[in-house]
Amino acid sequence: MSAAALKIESLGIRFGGLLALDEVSIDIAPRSIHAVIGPNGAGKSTLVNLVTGIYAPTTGRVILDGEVLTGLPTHRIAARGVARTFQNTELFTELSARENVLIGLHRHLGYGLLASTLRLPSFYRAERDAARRADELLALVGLEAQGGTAAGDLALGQQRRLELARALAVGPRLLLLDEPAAGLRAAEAEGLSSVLLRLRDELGLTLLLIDHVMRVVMGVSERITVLNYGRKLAEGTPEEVRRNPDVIAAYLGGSPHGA
Amino acid sequence: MIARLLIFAAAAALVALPFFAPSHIVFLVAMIGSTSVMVAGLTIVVGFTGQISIAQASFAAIGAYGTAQLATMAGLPHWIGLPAIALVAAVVGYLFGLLSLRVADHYLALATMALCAIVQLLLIHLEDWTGGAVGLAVPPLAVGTRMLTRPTELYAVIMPCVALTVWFLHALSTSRLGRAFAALRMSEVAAAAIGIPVLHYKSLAFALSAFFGAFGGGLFALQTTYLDPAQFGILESVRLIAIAVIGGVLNPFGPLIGSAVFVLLPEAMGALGRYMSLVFSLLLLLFVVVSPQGIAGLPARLRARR
Repeated sequence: MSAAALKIESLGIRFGGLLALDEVSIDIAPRSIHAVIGPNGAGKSTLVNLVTGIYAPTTGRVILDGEVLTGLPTHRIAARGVARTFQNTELFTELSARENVLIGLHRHLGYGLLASTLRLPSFYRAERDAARRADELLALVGLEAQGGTAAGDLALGQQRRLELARALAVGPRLLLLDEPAAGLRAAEAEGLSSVLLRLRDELGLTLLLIDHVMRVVMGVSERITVLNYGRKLAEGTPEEVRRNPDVIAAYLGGSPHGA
Repeated sequence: MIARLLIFAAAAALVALPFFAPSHIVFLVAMIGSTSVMVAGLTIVVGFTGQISIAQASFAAIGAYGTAQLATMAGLPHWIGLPAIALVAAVVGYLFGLLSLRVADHYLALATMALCAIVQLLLIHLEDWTGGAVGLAVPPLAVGTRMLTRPTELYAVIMPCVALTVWFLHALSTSRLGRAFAALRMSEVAAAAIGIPVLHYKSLAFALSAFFGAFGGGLFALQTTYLDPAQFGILESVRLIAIAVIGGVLNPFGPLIGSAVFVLLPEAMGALGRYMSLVFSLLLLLFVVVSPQGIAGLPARLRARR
């Protein structure tokens, strides 16, 4: 078995009396799509916030290609090639779609305050390259015509795609997608699946995908981890997970939260 | 296009002004200029970055007193002393910005207000350095042996600084740093997830704010020629915020427009001047409600209406 690109080791966090995540371990192979599913409140978004350093875990650690991420501030984790989208979209709503992607490219624009104030050639060169790259990324997610539109004025499906383009601008090795299919229409969800497969196959990214929408998850994931009440309930291929009686119970019967 | 013509015409008028206008008008316009430099700092921290600071008068005080005392006590010419004290203020501003790690929003407002009160107390009680409550005289700006005290001479020194400040605001807002500031304003968590060092950049915004606050304060000192602690209290900080908001916090010309209103209106009101605070309060309220982007934001707003 190849080395895991992302290794989550007995990761846990407690919010006051609530054990939101209880010693969860997940290994994610490089260039794969790994889904984490589970009912509401299972700890899925918490997991993303722990990997990206927004929360500090009570137990365990996160290792990316042999390097421990746990303890680093969020912006340093991003600098190591971890990008994410947000469950409730966190776009810079007053800015245009293109500017959102340009901010995603922030770390790749090398010039300093002096170069931009004096408008040195290095400023123009970097800005021109960034503008081209931003347009490429907008085209990749199908928003080439919306570059000038304020992010807040885009439709929900477009906003989710814009967040994806902005995350890609960071230049990630690992991409964490927090419910990218939530609220999308069927056709949009299909489009999302094909984009995710392209990211894995053409860009060689490792994807951690969190979602409720079974059609997307089952269609693209190599492996699926099922969380329930902060614990790992099951793990395996989509087929194994689908047949797992515990999973069926959590989703259809046993859970008071429902799916 | 119209905006460009307007800017060009205004710039030409400002260059020509000292040749035909009476000297008290030249003095007033230079006062608008130095005020706008102080306000430019606020535009960066409050407008671009979306933080709150009620400490801008303190940075202006550092610049004003520093410029005066570096000349009086250390014999440093203003040409060196003013930029030097502005850089010192920037360092203080950066360190102060680190506070935003611990406090945000209302509490940041209170913390900056506390800083302002502390600095004013220091101005009163560090008598050996500041002249205490009585204040101190500012040595005039000198070139060689010649003293620049006439309004037109100060105008010729101050207005280029104002032009550079406007350019800096424009250049900043269209650079990666300016975009990162805007990102912080709209979503800190998304900015961090992109790799923007939130605390460092907030502190940088405070540092820039302090730099321009002190620089403007230094220019102001050269004009008023006498400093006392009453000029640099919390009320002055609030006045500077009001100028920033009424001018427009996201436009490079906002500070200049706001300062023009606040300097010229009391002149125009004459005997009604004692109602000034009331007028400014109402103006501030009006803009916060009707046009949060200030006067500079009005054209875009009217266009959107149509």
